[in-house]
Amino acid sequence: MFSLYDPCTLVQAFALSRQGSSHQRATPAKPCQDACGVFSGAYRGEGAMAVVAADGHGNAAHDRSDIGAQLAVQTAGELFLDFALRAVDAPPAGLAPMFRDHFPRQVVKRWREKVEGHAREAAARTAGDLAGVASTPPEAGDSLWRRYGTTLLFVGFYRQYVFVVQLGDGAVVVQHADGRLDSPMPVDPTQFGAARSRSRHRTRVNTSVRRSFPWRSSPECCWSPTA
Amino acid sequence: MEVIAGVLLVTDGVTDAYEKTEKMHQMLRQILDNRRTFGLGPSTDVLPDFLDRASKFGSGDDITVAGLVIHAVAVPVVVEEEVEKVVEKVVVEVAEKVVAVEEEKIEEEKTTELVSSPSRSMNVPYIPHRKRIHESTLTTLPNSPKIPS
Repeated sequence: MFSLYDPCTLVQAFALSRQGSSHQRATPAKPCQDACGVFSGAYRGEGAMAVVAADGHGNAAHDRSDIGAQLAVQTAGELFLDFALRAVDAPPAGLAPMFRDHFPRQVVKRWREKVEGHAREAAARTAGDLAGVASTPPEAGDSLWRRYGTTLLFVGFYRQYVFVVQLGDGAVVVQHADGRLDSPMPVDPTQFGAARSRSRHRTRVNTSVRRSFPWRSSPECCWSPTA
Repeated sequence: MEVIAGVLLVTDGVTDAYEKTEKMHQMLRQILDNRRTFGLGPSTDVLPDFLDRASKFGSGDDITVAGLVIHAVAVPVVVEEEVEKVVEKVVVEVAEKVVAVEEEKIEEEKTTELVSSPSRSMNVPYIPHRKRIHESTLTTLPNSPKIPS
């Protein structure tokens, strides 16, 4: 369980994954293939916070999806803090395009690199040659990414904007100022790593993102205890 | 651009556990309201049990709930009538018990005071009413979204 409260932005972040009851009952017990994390940073007094959740695919073809999910969470969190650092001087109107044009693509690219690194290390460990990790040839792209396949759900808060990214299933639920909840993301079965559901037959890794867009949060979010 | 008060991320372990989106939203609303009302600690304590039950009686799949709550945006907290009645009843019961315990201790102190030194009357223990009420209510009613202040 991750919980964090930033008194400057008045934003509270939390994330919790629990192993499913069917995973506990399975013989042998399956690991929790969901992963989640909370990340935060501050740049010139502007707090940045990111919450990430990922759901590893979980069948035999995706035997390392629990690790894929953890890598996806780590990658998205780190990259959002990088984005916040680069965007510290960007005009407000430029934040959304900057995020939309670079962030999802960067996440997929970095995730693949991490997956290849993990696979190399695992191969070297199996061969008992950890010193030769760098020289161990990686497995082929598509089939390797499929083994680590996962979804990704991301929400980031920075400079009064909320950024959302979704790859694959699950849901992003938004609470409006009047208390109403809705799920504004359009339905799209594409996945991160490799596809399941409608696009199960595809072997090409899909890098598209359902949608990423900013919402303006309350202007009072600028409030700080020293003001 | 729209003003929003929070965003929740849920994996398919949650979405598959509910036949109707409205029911899922109702559950998520409770989580958000709990976090707004009780803050990090108490709402964090009850969330694992909340999710375990959703997995057990729902999809059986792994389950993740994550999100951001923006406290600068005031949101009306929805309390269902029945839940509110139960919460009120529990709060009154707990408050009565706390008062009874307090009175008992004061009586005890008075008796001790008569027997021993008079300076002991300054040592009446402080009982944090609100804390005890909140903790007790959360333990018995993890889904209750609001405690009257």
